[in-house]
Amino acid sequence: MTHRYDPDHASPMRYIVAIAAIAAYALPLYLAIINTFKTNEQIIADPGGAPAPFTMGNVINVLTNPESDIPPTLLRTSLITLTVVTLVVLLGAMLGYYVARHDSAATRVLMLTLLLGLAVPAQVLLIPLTQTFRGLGIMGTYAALIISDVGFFVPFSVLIFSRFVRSIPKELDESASIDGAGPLRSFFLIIFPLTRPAAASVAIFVSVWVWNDFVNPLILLGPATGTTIMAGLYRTLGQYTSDFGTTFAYMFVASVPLLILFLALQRSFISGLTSGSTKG
Amino acid sequence: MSKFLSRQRLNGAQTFAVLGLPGIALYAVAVIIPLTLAIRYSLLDFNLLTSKGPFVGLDNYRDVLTDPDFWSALGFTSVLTVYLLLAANIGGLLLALLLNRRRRVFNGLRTIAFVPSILSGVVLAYIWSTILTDKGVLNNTLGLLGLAELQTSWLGTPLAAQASVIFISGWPSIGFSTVVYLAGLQSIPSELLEAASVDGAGPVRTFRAITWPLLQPSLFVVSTMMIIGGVKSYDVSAVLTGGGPAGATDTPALQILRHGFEENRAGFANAQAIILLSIIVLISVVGYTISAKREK
Repeated sequence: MTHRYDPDHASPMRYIVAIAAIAAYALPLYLAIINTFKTNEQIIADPGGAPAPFTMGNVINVLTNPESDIPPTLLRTSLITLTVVTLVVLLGAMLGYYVARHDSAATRVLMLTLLLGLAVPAQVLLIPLTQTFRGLGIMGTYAALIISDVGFFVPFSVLIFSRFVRSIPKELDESASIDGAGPLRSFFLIIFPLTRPAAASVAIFVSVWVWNDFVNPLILLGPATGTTIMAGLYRTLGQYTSDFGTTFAYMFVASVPLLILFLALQRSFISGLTSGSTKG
Repeated sequence: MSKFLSRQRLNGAQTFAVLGLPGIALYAVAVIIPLTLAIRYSLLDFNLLTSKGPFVGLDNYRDVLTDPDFWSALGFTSVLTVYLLLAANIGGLLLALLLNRRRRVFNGLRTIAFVPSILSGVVLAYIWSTILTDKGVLNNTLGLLGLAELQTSWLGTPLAAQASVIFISGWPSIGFSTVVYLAGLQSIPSELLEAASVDGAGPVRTFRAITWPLLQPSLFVVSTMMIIGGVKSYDVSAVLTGGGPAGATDTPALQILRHGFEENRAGFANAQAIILLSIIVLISVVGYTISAKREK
């Protein structure tokens, strides 16, 4: 009898155990989803049961309630995230390229300074940031939030890009410079387009962080400026304690954009978020 | 020649100005200047409202280091970090070994396992709060199963609240590390495993001789993230318990925000921030040294 070696053979037992384990693990997700589509009465009487009747009422209520202001907040959060991600990718790629191609004592000191930035928790910076931004007269504006997020993620971005650029042969820049391209042209036309995998990792890691963050928007935007979706959710949690349906729907609406992006770009998501092991 | 050199130099400075300066400038505004200010404020009796305060030397550091609340928060965070390390590595490795089959069902299960990693801490903590509140799903279920004596106020008594916050913080980490370990497992060349199987090595022997040594990079990635994430953790406590009851689930990161913004004790908060940062830098340097030694 010959056994063919098949590393991907799975016994029925393995299917059963694996499905049971992940079902148990995902139980809280199941609760969050089903309760989004149930009436408040049913959530209280039967929190674990399937929706009966199925209702879109909570989601419609959350999306149309002018007080909670959710559609504009989603749009605002998308724009803030997009701006931060674009700047982090662009500035990180430029600086990363510069550092990778100019090895000197000065760039090594610069890299060390940036590595220190990787270790700094956001909370350590928040109190002084409010003072700096007040001094600059931009406290409470989107500029404050965007500048602090971009600056916070520059080190991570530089690290990923400089590593990636080092794997691109120098001859590529040199042949471009023989053809008359200066360093800027060879960066934008030749190198930057090649760094797509690094850009994807950085973009995904930073989008998830910026979208999900609630502390920086709460403090830097303050109460007067329109806030981001998670900061809005954090604020509402206290107010609707008895209205479970609305809260579940709010969470659902706030999380769905990232979930859709994740399902569409799974592979890049996983490599992007695990590359974050270098971001302290 | 000199003309050539000066043109080169100008070019070099221009290149730096365009490619390097924008990133450095924003990094300086968002990290370096605030960090320098944090050190300065930590030496002052600083008032956030007036942006002023008298110099008090190391008094704030002394106050932090003699504050029992700081030590209890640090103790709680340490226990949480140790739990994260164990749960993420053991739970993640076991789930990864279970899911390590390139079949559609298993890929789907991996996707589900990763979902908590992309949810906001606010969302995670609120989902769990509906399970753990006094009349929540957990106590309901315990009642239905006839285990009413196990019912407790999961967020209202210090010990149960600590257990809840620790357990919930570990929840997304387990799915995350499962995916990291799976990537590690699937990068092991199948010829190696096949050769072991041809040589008659059983699963335990294969795991110890081949799989585990080749999973060291995954172990390192997961452990680094859990230690640093654990030391800075605040969001689950912030949403679920607010650090209570009676400070039982307080973490240093949460205390910094509260002392700084709610109690206007910015000097004290910044001293605490610098101490927390020193702990993280120390851990990072140790971790970096270990990984550099490994690579040799």
